[in-house]
Amino acid sequence: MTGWIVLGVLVLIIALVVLYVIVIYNGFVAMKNGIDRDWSNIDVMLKQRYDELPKLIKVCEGYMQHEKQTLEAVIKARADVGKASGENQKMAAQNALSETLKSLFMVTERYPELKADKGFRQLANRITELEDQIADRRELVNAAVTIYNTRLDQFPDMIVARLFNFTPRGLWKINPAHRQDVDVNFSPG
Amino acid sequence: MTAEARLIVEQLPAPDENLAELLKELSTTCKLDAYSCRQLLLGQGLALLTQGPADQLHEIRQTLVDYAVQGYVLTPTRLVFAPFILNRLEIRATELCLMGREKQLVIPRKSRLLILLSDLSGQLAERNLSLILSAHRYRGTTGNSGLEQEKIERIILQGRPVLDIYLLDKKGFPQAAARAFPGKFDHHGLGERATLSTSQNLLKLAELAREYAEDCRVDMHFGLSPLPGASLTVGKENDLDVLKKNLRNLTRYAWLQADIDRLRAQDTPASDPEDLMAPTASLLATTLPDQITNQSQPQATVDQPASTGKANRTAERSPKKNLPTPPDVQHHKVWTSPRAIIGIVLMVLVGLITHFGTRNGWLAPLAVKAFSSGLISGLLTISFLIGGFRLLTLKRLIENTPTSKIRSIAMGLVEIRGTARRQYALVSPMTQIACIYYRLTRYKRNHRNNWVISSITSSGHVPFWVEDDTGRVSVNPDQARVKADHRQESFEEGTVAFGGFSSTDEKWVEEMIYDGALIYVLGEARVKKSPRPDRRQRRAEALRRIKQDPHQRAHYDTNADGRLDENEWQTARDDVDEQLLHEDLAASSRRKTQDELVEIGKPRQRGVPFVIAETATEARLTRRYGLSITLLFATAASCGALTLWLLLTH
Repeated sequence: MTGWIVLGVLVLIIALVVLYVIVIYNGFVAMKNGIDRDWSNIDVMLKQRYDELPKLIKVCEGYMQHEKQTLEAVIKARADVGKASGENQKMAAQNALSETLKSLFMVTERYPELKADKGFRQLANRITELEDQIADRRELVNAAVTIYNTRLDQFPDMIVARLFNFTPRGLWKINPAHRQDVDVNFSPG
Repeated sequence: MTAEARLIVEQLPAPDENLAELLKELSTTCKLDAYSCRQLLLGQGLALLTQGPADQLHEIRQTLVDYAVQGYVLTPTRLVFAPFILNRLEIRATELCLMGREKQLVIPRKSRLLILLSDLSGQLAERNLSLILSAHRYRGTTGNSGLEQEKIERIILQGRPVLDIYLLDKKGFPQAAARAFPGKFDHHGLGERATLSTSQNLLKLAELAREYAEDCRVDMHFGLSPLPGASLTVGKENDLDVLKKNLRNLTRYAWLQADIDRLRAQDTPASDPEDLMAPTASLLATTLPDQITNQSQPQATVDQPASTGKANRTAERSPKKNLPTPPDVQHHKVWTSPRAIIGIVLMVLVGLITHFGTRNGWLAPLAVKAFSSGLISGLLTISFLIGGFRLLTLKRLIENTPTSKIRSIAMGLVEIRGTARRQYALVSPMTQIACIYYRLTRYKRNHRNNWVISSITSSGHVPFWVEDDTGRVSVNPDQARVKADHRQESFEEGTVAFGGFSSTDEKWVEEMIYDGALIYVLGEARVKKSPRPDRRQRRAEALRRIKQDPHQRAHYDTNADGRLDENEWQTARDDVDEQLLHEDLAASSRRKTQDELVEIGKPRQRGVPFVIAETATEARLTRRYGLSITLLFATAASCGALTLWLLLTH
């Protein structure tokens, strides 16, 4: 009888450990898929921005006859986004597009008529809104990845992670050029 | 630029016949929230109705005066001094001298005084709130006359009393003040008046001061009035920070009373100073009873320390813009939920087994056998383990989910944190406080003297907003697991149970989350269902209107035969279609904002939790879950050990 009891206790302890492992494992799976979903959600916003751009360029073309270079850079960057394949290439193309858009908005400062155009204002607001949302979602991805990577290094989660080959995920990285100080010069000319 | 002023009203002890009209007027003309106004206008004492530019407040005040409600527009006087602590006193023929360590207050004969007898323990506020709750619950909202003066005085003396004496100049500005704590001043200065009771000596001192005054007003309502910066906070008995804060607030309260007295004097045409300083019924300015009896009743311990905190929060709030009336509250009996049905079935089974087992005499041996064999403790172990693992899963899910910013929430499971704001003018049913969620549970005593839930009412169907720095989103709390921090109990007789005992057979427990509380939400973000009916329904409705309206029928009846033939109907249908198309195009030309498009609600997928918790940080919430998990696993381990021991010994 005692033997059976000892066996029962052992089975119970093993069952508890297995249950705990299941909880941890399911947590990792949910986090991993959550990170993938968060990246996809950024893609959704990027696609929206991509779709809004032709309208913006069309509005700008009417006013900015002397800024062909800037507009062409935006058009080219947008085309590069369409052509890009692979995660890194896509990310680089999207960053380049963000840069050209920034340049475009800076140049529009010289065109008061354009700034006064209702259509332009709406489109510019929409794109700025999308940029803000993209930034928020990138932060969210980073938060999700940080939680996931922290779990990977924590005990006892690390045992489960190593057992089932859960590997660390990369954070969204900023373009190194953006880390440099901005050179502000107020001198005329 | 107009200065920011405050509109303070004298509360009505009970709603009168004009109140509904006044609220309507305040709501439509002054754009104030009728529910909050009602709450602030009813009670004992003074309340801050709203604040803003003085000229606007004067307009609102005029509306109040038209409905016989007294209001005062003021910018509070800056505090110049605080009362000194009284050490001893000296009675002289022409004056009363109150002395502190360094300062002294000389009260000459025929002076003007403001005396405040206050309770810092929170018992007075607690008892008053209980009475209001009882009035709401058992007598509707009428007949709420509040606590009687003698009772107020008795409660103050049983609590933590403090006496402030302010000497006022001819214009009503405070000149000097002294503060007396029971047992902290030399009572021998009272002469023959001195008693053995330290709190009674406070009353004697107040009586003595009154004798020297020509005009004297006594106020005993500190902590009852929802006034900003002048409210009472209840903390632990020896918490010095809370005590200091309360004394500061008491000083502000006294200065505010002096301000209001001056305004009241301006409003009163009577030139007799007696009339000017006469206590008004609604202010509850009272005179101390001449005959003071010894209060030997034991000090009551009240088991709801949080309620005064609620009153304080109410004090910080002014009515906001007009909100729509909430949809009807769902009254559902507990037995309609699936869990309750399972519970009832189990109870019936247990009842049947008990009945037949007792009659046939096999129940007791069977129970002994079940216990001694370890079956019962084994089942308990498994139950606690299941509960523990379920909570553990939830805790890890909360920890593993990153917090989204509201402006960029994606569809699906999301976690947000922010300030809860009302979408509808929702107020809690018992305490009448503006809230975003409440749950009212009614308990009844059964034949074994245990409390049993008899019904639950909640505002689960009333959505609210959650705001953060980036935007706001609607949350539909239906079927959510809601953790509210604030809980209020009320018993049938209107008194909160002393020492946990109450002789009543019914109690009500109200849990709520205030408007403006910091909350955590874990739920599913999805596109809100449009309240607008679809095009087909609108088409049918438009055609029905044409059918019922003789003018419209006549318009389409081109051959004037009194009826619409097929061609005429087709013309009407074409017109309606065109009109609907225009409407749809107009609607789609405006981009919908996030708060119009998205809502957070219960996840459609089974097993995914929907949590709404009143908490400042996520860590605090998970810590609470962690404690519960530890408790469940510890209990499971104990039951497991008992099972093992039973198995080994028997």
